[in-house]
Amino acid sequence: MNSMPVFVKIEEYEDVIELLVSLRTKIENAKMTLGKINQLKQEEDAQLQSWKTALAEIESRLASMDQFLHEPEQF
Amino acid sequence: MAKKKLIKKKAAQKKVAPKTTRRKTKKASPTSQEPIYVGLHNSVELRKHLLEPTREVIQFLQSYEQFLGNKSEKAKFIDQLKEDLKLIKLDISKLRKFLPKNKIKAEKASQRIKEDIKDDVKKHPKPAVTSAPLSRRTASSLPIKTSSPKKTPSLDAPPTKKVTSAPPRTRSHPELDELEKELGDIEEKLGTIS
Repeated sequence: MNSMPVFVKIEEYEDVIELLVSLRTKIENAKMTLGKINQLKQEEDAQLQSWKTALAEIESRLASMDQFLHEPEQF
Repeated sequence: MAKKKLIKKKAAQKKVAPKTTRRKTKKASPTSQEPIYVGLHNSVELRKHLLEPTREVIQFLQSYEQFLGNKSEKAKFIDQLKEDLKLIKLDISKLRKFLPKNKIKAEKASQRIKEDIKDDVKKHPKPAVTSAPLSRRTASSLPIKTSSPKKTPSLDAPPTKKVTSAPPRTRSHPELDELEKELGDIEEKLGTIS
């Protein structure tokens, strides 16, 4: 039974082939859009990271300013 | 009469408002207006510290605009991807329609196998000696397994413990049942293939 060939009857064979081709192109398109989304996500992540560091820097600067203003020079 | 009433009202207002509070307010106002001078160590550095964060905040806002643009672009791409996936799904369903159903074919194949086996049995009947134990028979002489070997316990083998069957599950999910059924069918098909 294992060695016996199996024949599958397919009506409208050409349509099936066309459908397969279109499916392949659609899958390629989906892959491309997914790649773009991934790239944008990475950009967003990088942007968020830079904001985080910048905010930390601003916070430290403000802390130093706060120190200046709360501990004024005494005459 | 009206003038008298007004005079009485003014007198009552004077009685209500205490004089001490007025004095306090008058004293407090000149002190709050007095300027306070604070000496700073490094005024230049302080100014620097003040200006740099403002510059950074402006840069923040600029990058935020870019970020918003990226976000809208991403949303567009996600919508596009959704549409693409929908189309792919539709195409796959079309393809399924074109292709034959596996289930029917598999059933037919199994039926055919069973029929072939029956024919073989009819053509080549079993030998007359049936009282011989199963262990003496060779594998080639057995065309079909009519009964499972578990049902004929061998004398040499130690008595095995009976496996208690699991209590029947309460099936409240019809989807789960369907899935189990499909899984069973697939396993059956795999069994016929191998």
